[in-house]
Amino acid sequence: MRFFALVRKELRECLPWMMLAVVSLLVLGGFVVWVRVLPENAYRYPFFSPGSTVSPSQLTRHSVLGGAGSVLLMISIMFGLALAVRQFWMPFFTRTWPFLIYRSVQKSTILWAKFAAGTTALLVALGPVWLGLFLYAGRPEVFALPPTLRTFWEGWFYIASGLIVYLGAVLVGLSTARWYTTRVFGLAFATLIVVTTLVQCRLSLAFVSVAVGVAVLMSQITHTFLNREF
Amino acid sequence: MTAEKHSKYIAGPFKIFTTLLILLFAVVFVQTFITQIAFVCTYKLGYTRPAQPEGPNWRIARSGRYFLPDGTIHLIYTSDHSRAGEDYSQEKIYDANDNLLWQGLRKDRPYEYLSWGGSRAALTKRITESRMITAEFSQELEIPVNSKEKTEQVWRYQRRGGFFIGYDMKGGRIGYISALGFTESKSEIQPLGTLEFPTAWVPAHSFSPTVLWQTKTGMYQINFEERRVELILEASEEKIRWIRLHDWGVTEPELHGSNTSIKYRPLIDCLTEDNKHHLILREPDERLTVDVPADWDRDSGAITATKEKIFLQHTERDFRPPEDISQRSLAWQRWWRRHLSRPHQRWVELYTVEDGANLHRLNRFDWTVPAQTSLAEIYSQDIYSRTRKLTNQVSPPAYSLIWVMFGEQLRTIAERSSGMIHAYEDIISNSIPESAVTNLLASAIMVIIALWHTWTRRTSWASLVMWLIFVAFFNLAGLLTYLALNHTPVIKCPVCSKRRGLERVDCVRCGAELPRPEPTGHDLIFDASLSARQPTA
Amino acid sequence: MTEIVLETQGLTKYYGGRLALDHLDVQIPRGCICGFVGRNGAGKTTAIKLMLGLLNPTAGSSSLLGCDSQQLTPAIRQRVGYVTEGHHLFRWMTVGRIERFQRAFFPKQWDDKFFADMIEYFGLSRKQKIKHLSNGQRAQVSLALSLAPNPELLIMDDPTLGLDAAIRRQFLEGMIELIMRQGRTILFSSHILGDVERVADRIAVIDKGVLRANCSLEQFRKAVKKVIVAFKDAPPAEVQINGLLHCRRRERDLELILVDIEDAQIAAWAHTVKADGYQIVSMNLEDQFIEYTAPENHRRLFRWEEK
Repeated sequence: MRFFALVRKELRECLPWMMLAVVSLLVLGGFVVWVRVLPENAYRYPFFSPGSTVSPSQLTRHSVLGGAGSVLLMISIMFGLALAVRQFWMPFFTRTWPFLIYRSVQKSTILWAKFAAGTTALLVALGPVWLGLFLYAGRPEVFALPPTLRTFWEGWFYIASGLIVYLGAVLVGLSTARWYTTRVFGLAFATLIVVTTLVQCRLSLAFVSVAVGVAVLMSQITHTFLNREF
Repeated sequence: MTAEKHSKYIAGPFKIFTTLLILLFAVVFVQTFITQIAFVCTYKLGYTRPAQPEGPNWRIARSGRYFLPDGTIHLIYTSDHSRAGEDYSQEKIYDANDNLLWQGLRKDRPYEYLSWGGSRAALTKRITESRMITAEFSQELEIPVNSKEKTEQVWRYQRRGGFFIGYDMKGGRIGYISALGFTESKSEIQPLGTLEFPTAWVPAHSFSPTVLWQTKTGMYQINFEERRVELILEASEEKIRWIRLHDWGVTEPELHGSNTSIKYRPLIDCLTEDNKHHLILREPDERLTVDVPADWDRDSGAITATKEKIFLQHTERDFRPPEDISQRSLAWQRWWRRHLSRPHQRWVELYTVEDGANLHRLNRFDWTVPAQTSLAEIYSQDIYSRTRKLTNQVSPPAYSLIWVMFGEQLRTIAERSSGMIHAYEDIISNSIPESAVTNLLASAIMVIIALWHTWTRRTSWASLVMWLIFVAFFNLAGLLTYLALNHTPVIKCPVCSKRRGLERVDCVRCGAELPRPEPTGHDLIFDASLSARQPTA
Repeated sequence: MTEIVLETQGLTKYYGGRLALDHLDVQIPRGCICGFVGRNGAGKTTAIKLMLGLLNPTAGSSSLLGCDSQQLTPAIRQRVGYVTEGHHLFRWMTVGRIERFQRAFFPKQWDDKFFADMIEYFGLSRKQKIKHLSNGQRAQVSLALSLAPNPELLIMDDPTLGLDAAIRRQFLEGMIELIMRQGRTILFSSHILGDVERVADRIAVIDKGVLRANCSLEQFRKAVKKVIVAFKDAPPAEVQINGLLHCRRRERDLELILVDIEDAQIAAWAHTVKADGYQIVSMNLEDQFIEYTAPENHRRLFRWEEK
């Protein structure tokens, strides 16, 4: 009951940012897809003249949802940052940490409640919208070639990138080091993980990259939070 | 709180790992930045590199060797190496007896030389990199079938199944193209095989690409417009080592570059592991297997075919690296540098392939390559090289150790990976210090600094030794990591007046605990022995 | 034997290289109201946070209700109420919402009626948002949130900071309400000695991180004295008397601040130095505190005070 009270409180605090993320993704992502659907922008392949050589790079094409992917990645990262700031940085400015920490629960319960709320917010805000965009783009009357299943999973890696950035920003917020020393290393590491994920050619390796990033950041956040002074 | 205590055993190493990783990147970035500034100073701001050695041997060694269709060899020397191969580069053409025949701009060359097939390694890499996730999703291989006005169909490659799915532009599925050709049912599919590289061209009288699909054991030619799949090569016994194409699919002469008067036959040259060249020719269609002498280096032959003859060019040197050493290993590099440090012989031969598959030599040209040690010494004196040597002294000794132990495997992984990972590998391999002695000396200095810092702050001998070894292993990045994670406050011990850390209750110098404050004589400390307040009515 | 609900032993805290708390040894018995006083930066908040486990000590230990402060269990925290300095609450919540939030952590001991009574007494509405409340109203909500779970031990860090006299009075009355319940213990830090004087029965004075006094209020009041000693001629150059804390010279008298000395000893000394007479000046707790914690080379901020 106490855990859910904490989760409810955290979700309520994240709610405005969730709504902003949903609306942004719907509007921007939908706009990008709509522009692609327009007849003048619809599927255009390179024109080949008879007898010409074709470069293999002319045979590869980005997904029809390519632009929406960039939007999803950007919103996911910014949303993750916003969540981390709201949950872990704001209490320092509003000085509500002592009130929150001094609950009749284990300190780890408070941390896990924040994580549960943050992760839920990220997944609930972005997941359904992404699924909706994907299903919409898969309709034959929208695009002649449907986006592939791989595209769908890659979208989830973009959402996972937001989660990584969220964890990195949380670590930055909880760190007691100076800004000009190692305080920003949490975000630096998160950036490294996101870049490593995005340069992978195989989804399994991308998954490993995300898993390693989450494990490393979560362990450090847990230790820092449990031992930090408030 | 056991969770608080236990969490440090997992979080601690991870924290060291992330801090070290970021600082390693930072150190490499700073090293690269400094060397790039030196590079700009060396090459862009008017600094003149030491003059390269001159003389006929050097000129011949640096010249390109080209054959005319009659077998005559010319040596083409470009003085401006930065523009070599460009139409406006200055060239001098010599004959085999070192007589100057012509000089001028490349675009004005009066001779037309034989051209040779090329490999597609770089293109293969680009196809691999198209699968990178990136910020706009990965790319798919899609072959359009076009009419004069528009795209009629698109065939998308399914990597998992190894076949193509066809779509009309209304989103309906047409069918499948696989190794067995076109089918309407997915159950009749046979996979095409893992793609090594595709080549594509547009046939005359068509607007749609035909694709040459090379796998490890064969090659398919796929015409999507006609929905036809042709197995044009199958190496069932020996694996394919490489495939080179020349003019295959290119039918317009103006696309041949400068060799416009030589009529080539489209050719695929497939070299298998048994050192046999399997040739597939067109115009007219012909298949041929050419055996080369067993003592030839496997990668030393290149083949081209004109309307009249089939030519084979063979290039060799008087030494070869041992076959049991991988080209990616440090041992191979050391061997190569050792042999380049002395003069060696090279030669090039031109053969025609006659009577089926017999080789008839038309010409041979020999030359001596001077020792390149002096060149290396000259280059090592410029600002860029010296700066690089200096900055690499703070690279971790761990790089050298890892490179010695795993360099070959790392290079293999990097070569197969995306360009970005290859770039990382490149940066790190360039950061490896040349001199182990000075590198270890730099490490020792870092260890001394770390020792001075940790002496007042030590909590245990095990921790101290561990950190010193860590710093020794990772040099500057290790020292920065240590400082980032261990710069705890120190105070002056009230008992011995020496600096001591606060991580331990007792002073590391004198063993005294933090003393209690001196009583002032006015303290009002009385026993808390009052009973609880009684509630009033 | 009186039960000790809060105890510290050699509690020491360094912030970086700066000593904030130096070997604090204090014991708070059950049923006691202890005022924790000190100048700005003396270490009061640091001490309270160490006791509650919000900070990690450099040395020493503390325990609450028999449990080590660094390992306070949820069960112990349920029995200890904490009012934070500044009464910082979640600004987006309403009074009703924060009540529900707080109640979730005290399912069995939450006193709905008590909370409702307090809110009504303070004139607050459940629908008001925290961010729309004044400092005083927020303090009232904070107090109500802390008292409604009926804690055995209540720790308050400067609870009346920034409140006007009327709100402070209401706040203190709320505290008294808790005091009326048998066996409740309160530890509160404050700058306002008048409040301490009103409700506390023990006082702990902390100065530059060091505990200088830990006694009953009555003992402190009796111990710190101001004595004006008059002389016919100039006062003696050297003043030697037990318990002398400060000595200020004027033309013909001495103002002495004495600690823990009997009246008879003062009289005897005055006779020895041939004083013309002496007077023990009455001081309120605030004056006593200021004199007790004044530095040795006491220098006044504004010179015109001396005129």
